Amino acid sequence: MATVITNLPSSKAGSVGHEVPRSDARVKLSGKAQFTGDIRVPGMLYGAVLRSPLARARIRSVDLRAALALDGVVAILTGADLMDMDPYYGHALKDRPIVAIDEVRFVGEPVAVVAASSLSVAENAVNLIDVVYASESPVTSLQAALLPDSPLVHTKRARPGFAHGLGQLPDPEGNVCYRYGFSKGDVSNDFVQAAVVVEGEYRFPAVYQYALETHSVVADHRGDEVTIWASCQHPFLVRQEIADLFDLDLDRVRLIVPFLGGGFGSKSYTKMEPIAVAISRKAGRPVRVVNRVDESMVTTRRHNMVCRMRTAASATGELIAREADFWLDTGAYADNGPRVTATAGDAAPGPYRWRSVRVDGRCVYTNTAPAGSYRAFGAIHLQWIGELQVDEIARRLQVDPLEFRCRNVLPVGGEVRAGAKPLDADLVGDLRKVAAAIDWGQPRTEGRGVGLSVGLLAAGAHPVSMATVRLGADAGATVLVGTTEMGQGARTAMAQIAAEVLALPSEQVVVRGTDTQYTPYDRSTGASRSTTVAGKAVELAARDVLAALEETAAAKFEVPLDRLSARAGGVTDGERWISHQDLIRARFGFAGGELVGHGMVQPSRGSGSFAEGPVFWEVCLAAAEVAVDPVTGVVRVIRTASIADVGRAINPQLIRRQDEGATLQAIGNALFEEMRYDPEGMLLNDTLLDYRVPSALDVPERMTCVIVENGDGPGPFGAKGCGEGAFAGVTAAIATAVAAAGVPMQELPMTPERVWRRIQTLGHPDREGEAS
Amino acid sequence: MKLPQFELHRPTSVDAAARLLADLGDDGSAFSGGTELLLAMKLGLIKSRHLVDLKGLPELHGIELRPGGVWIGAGVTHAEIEASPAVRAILAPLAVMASQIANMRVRAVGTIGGNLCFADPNSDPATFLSAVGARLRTWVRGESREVAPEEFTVGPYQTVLEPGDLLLGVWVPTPPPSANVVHLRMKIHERPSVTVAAMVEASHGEVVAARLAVGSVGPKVLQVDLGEELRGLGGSAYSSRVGALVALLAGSIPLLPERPESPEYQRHLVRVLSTRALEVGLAAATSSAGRPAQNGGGEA
Amino acid sequence: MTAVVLTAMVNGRPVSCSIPPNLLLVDFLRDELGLLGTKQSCEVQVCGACTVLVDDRPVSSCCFLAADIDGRRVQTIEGLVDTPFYERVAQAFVRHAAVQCGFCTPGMLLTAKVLDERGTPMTAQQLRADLAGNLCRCTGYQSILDALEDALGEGPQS
Repeated sequence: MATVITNLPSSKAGSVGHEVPRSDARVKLSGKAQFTGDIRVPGMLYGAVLRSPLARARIRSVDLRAALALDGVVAILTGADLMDMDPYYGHALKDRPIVAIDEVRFVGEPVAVVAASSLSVAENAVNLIDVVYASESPVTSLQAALLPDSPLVHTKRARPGFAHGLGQLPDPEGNVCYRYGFSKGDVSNDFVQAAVVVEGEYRFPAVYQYALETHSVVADHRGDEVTIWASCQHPFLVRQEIADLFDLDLDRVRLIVPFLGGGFGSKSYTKMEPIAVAISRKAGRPVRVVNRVDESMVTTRRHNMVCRMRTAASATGELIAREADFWLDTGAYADNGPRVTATAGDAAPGPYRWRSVRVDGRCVYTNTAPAGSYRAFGAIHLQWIGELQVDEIARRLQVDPLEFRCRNVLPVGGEVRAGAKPLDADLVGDLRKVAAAIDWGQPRTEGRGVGLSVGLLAAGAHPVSMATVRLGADAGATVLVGTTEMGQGARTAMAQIAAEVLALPSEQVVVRGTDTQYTPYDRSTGASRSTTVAGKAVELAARDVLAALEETAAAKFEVPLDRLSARAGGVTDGERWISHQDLIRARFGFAGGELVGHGMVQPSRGSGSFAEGPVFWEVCLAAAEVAVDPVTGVVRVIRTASIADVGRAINPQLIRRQDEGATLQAIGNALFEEMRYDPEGMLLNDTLLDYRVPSALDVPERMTCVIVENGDGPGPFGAKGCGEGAFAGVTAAIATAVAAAGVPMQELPMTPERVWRRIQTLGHPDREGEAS
Repeated sequence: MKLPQFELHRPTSVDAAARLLADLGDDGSAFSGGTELLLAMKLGLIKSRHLVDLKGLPELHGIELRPGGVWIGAGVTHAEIEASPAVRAILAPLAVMASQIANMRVRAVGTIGGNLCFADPNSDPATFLSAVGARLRTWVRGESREVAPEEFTVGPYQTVLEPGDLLLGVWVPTPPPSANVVHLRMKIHERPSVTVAAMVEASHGEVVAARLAVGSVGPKVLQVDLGEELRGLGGSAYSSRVGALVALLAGSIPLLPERPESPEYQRHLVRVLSTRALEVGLAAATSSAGRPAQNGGGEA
Repeated sequence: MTAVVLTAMVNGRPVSCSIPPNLLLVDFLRDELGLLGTKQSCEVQVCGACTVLVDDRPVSSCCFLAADIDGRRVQTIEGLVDTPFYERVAQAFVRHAAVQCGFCTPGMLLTAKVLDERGTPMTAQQLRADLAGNLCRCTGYQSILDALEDALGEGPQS
């Protein structure tokens, strides 16, 4: 029988806001966590990909005979196998064939895929495929691609993809595949009237996300169904793209997502899944395709960019106008380039009170590996440039850079861009906090520089997420939500949100990976959206369960619903308490059954703030202190501080980890990470021997993450997302800090050689012999 | 990435190993730690069909303190050098240099002999050993011979050894009591971009002997004996002479093509690091005269 | 290729088999023995994800012949889990949230085991240098360094 207790159990502090240990820590520590590469499906074959050695060529012939004769080879896929379907995909622009058809457009483009009984047989067979190419002159740089007589990377106009979300696509101009811009006010006049104008041309490198787990897929195509285990961030978008591509019903495409060994955007949208499905279709068996690092490097990367920017200020220290023209190199296929271009455009003005602004961004095809998403895209491209110019103006006006920013940043509710959500963060408060954390204004050592940066990132992507919460007879809850756990701690945060609503200990809430056959729809895991959007759906689903519990409790206690609340794993009316288990038992009349709650977030519903874009403005705000060795040009990051303006911290410890991880990635992006190509479009540093990522030796002496909780987010309990802001913020702060040390740089990464060269041109005394 | 097919041979004597390698010619590769060989084979850069495992040759193992120096077998790992009391006793900077090679996994498996025979230009040991006057003992057509480290390497991935010749070990002489050894390097990527090692012997603040070796920038280690040029100098006279010599060296040292860093910057680094090494070398030799050389290496 | 006969102890259990000489240790462990806790990432001995111990020494199993474990002891994460050291280091990793995606984690723990065995007191800078051979792209390393300082400093927990 149900037990009603009148001696109320103590209400232990809730789950949200607490440093709950990660739910997946133990399984990962023990090596038992399953990643896609650990999946073994009965009958599974091993795939290996033949990739183009040329950046631009016609395929004259492909001879598979020697490869097919190899013992253990089951099937080989080439472009010729795709004639019975529309083989082009791309969520933004449908411009990419599953494997090359008649021509190749970048070094590393898949030309053929072998399925064999073992990976060594597959790799050997790849080496036996004889392809005859007719090489053509490639377009391997932005400069070359934008020449009026440049060869076209694509001669046919691409169709819009299923999820481009970018309105009417403009007509292509040469190799420009997408363009995004806006303007307000009279820019020309304001620059004429300005007292101070700073302008320059800036360069940003192509970089590699390097998730330790490379892109991995197992695909099993049988009949009119396909099951895919994939390291993907957006399983529901991949499902849709695969369904479109292979002409399958949505519910016949099943994506199962185990743990991801890092994502950072590199596993967003569709990557190796079409190849895996196509070779499985051909082989009639499940096939596993796992990239090597050099293959993942040509699967996706960050856009390199050239930007011309100018900024104007009045003599009295007001920022008045900004113009930005930029060109993003999206490689041979658009991938997420159009979205990156739009987000970069939104970030270009920076969060200031401009009288006039003009922004014009172009997304440009070249014969290099496709560029897509990487953490903080767009903001990271533009923020360091704008902030260098703000600092230069402050320097010329002899104003403290902190005070200069505080005077000019947008207020809460300020207009970031016409038609977009007004600013939903307190930037002055954030600036003061980050300045305090870095001891702003304290005297500093010779050769050191301290810099600040502030920016905004349009975050949240499209706000469509569903979640289901099931409360079992033992009062353990299971959350079904499509967010991918890629290291950020999503499963822990989702458990905390449901636990908070149901007043359960968070370890009593289980969150598993996505299986699209059972998990309700979630648009994607990226753009810092999961806690805010999917988390809101989880909160609503848990509230749905709680409503059912309270309905039963109301009948039992004979009180109105509004007197009831969840407490310590049960429901109370303030005087009496009954456990969730007993309520389920009371409801169903025996010790069984479960309560199922649903939650849904969509643009027209929710708190109303999901109705306008972006879902929220992610604050990208940080400070850094650097030491510059004038003799060698080596920059060392001594200290950093970043702001996590999260509205409400679901789990402060996980937020700090996000900012620390972003800080190290920022150090790499700012100081040494760069994909280098030769003039023929060959990637020169395609192993981690030559492409260096930050190690423990690059950790600053101190990293401070200041968590700001103003309750101003649209997510659960006033939360909004984080994890990207620090990346753009710290990268820009390192750039402004190096400038403050006397070396304003106009190209990232700030390698020792570039810094040294810049010092030479600035005519600094070469402090030879001063050991550092 | 998988390894191509090969036969694995495990001889147990130097003679047998040498004969086998001689017979195999270009089809065979000597195999010890494998940290460089197996990687190169995975990347398709080496296509040997036979690997001759030298780990079973007792002659190649062991570190021995002997009169006048220390003997290090070719099969000794970097980690063993790092931890060796014998090495620390006579030349601590060698242990420090070994402790900075790659990472602890490479050091646990990779051998000093393998490193020298593979002759990757971007590497520290050959440069260091050249500066301290080490001698490499080789087994050439059944005879034991001696060669200087800077002579052993003839170019990138090339040594004087022919198929069937082996490197047996390294003889590292004890530096004179008033000598100091300095090893500096600049790492921009995973492997060193510039390596500099200097040994400076001084008496009463004036140079008695000086040797400088520069590696990781050119096709092979460049070693210069600066004894003639610097003998008797100290203080500012030393500094200005070092400045001139190093500028000349940095301007003329052959460089490898197609490096991420420009020749101009590489030459600048050679100049900066060489100057520092020689300056620190003299200062420390002066202050530590009479005691074993203790000055370690460091990142620039 | 002539097969190589192999006898070794893997995680305390005897293993005897015949393998091709070109089989890499990582593939032997994952594909032949089903020990999937050992991860593979960079394949060039830089990242440390595939770290295992052979006779207590750390090796990159991606560039190590399976044939070379003949007559030796191999320890992978699956074998480490049953040791008191594991519990100590795992608690510290949980406490500091030093696990994120988890792909580098088994390799990190085996590296930690080597540092623990070495026993000499470490400076913070030495710890960073030792850990620089294991890449992590998620955490920013600080939490891992903190966890290791805890776990290696305090000895077995009561």
